[in-house]
Formats: sequence, structure tokens, C-alpha cells
Amino acid sequence: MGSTVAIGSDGKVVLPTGYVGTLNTWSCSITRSTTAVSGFSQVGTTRVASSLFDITGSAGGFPNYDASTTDPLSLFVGTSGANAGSVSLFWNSIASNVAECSLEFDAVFSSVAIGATQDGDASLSFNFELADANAPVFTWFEA
Amino acid sequence: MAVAVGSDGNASMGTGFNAALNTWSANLTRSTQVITAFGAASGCHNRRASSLLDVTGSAGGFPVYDNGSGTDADGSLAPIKHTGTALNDRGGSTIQLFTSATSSIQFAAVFNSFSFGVSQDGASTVTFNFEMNQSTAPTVSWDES
Repeated sequence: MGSTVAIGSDGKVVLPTGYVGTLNTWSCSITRSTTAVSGFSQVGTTRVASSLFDITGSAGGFPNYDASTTDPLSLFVGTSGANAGSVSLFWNSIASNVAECSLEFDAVFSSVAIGATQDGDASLSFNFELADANAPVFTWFEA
Repeated sequence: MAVAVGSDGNASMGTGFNAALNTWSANLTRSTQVITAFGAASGCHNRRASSLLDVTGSAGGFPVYDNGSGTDADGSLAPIKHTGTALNDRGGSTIQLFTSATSSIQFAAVFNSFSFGVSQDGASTVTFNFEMNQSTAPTVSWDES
């Protein structure tokens, strides 16, 4: 048995075509709502976790330009921007390799944050929310 | 007597929930009810605390994966319990939080969220957020000898 700790530089994020940038960070929360179901005479709190879970998150980096297909807003501001697209978040970015660690799901984009500061960076952040009738595909390199 | 310091701590998120953890926190709570009635002579609130105890908290650290040796079992390294590529964390697990090797609190819990962050110039992090799911009191083991 042997394991290694994931580090940020091993990561990667793949967004649908039209959500473009030089990305260097992502984050997400996988959540389930829970309900307390304790009854009289219990001294500890019992709960049930929902079968329905949610994923929200963001991916950020820097905008690109001066080349084709570099527009980060082309899909979001268009009529097809309301459609869900595939999001793949990698802890270990060896796609389809046995060593891949990733989470893949369809998502809609709730916002795109873009900014430029004269004494700093031009930044870009895509914020996404799970929109998938099927369960996400969770892949982890364990063996 | 020894004072506990953070480096003496540890945490186990239970079978199928794995990470290299380096921090945890928990709140043990009871709801309280004000039972002060009109005409209270003391001029201060009187309360009862519920007999029902709750524990919520989180634990954080770094995800781990196989180092290429190829000898780990399925479910032994991934941060979220799963079968194949499907997540099946809904049932939660037994959590044990240590302040030292000989002092801990243990209870069953469900997870209400898992938070991940990956930055190219930094760390890959994971946070487990849990809530007690046990009809009996947590098991507290404390080294007092």
C-alpha cells in the first residue's frame, strides 16, 4: 500500500467549449441536505441525509485574446448559454488514464466574473451549478 | 498532567472517507429554553437545557491517491465513499476526533458537504463537514490517569 498527497499543480479543469481562459484554480462543494429525525427519549441527534446531492463551484484564472476561440463570454452571453455543459474537475490530471482522479458532471453557469486592475491582474472566474439528471462520475486512483 | 497541543491531534472520518488530515473542529450543543415566567423575582433569565445533544463539525486536509504501487484497495484512498464511479456517501460513517492519542470523541455522523479546492500554485485541499447521526451519546474517551 502506498499513497501520495494531492498537490495543486497536479490539478486541471475542463469546461464546456465557449468557457475559455488560462485556468489555474478550481473549487467545489458537494452537498446533501440533512434532516434531524430525533424522537423523544433519544439523547443524541439522529439524521437522514438526502438522496439528492448538489455540486456548486468555480474555476478561475486569466482571460486570453488575440487568437480564435479565446472569447470567455461567447457562450454565456449567447442564447445557448442556458444549456448545461460538461464540467470535469481533476485532482490528478491524467484524463482517461488509470491514475486519473476526477469528478465529471453536467452543469449550468450561474455567473462569469471578469475584472482588470491597472496595477494587477486581469482575472476571470466561472461559477457553475450541477445540472445533471444522472449521477456525477467520480474516478479515483486507488489501485 | 499534559496540555494538549494541535500536533497531538488526529481524526478519522471512517471507512471510505480518506485524506491526510491536519485540522478538525467540532461543536457539541444542546438547545436551551428560557423558562422565566412573569413575576420572576430574580430579575434574570432562567433556562433549561435540552437532554438532546448534537455534534457538528469539520475536518480538513489534503486528498491522497495511489502512488503508483498499485496495491491499495478500492475505497482505501478516495475522499468520498464510492462504488465504482458512483458516490454512495449518504449513509455517513463513524467519526473519531482525537485531541491526543489517548483522548477522543467518537460518534456516527452524516456528511452534509465535502469542499475541495485546487490551485495551480498551491495546495489541493479537502474539507469534510459532518453532523451527528446517533441516538445515543457520543463515546468520550479521555486520558485522566
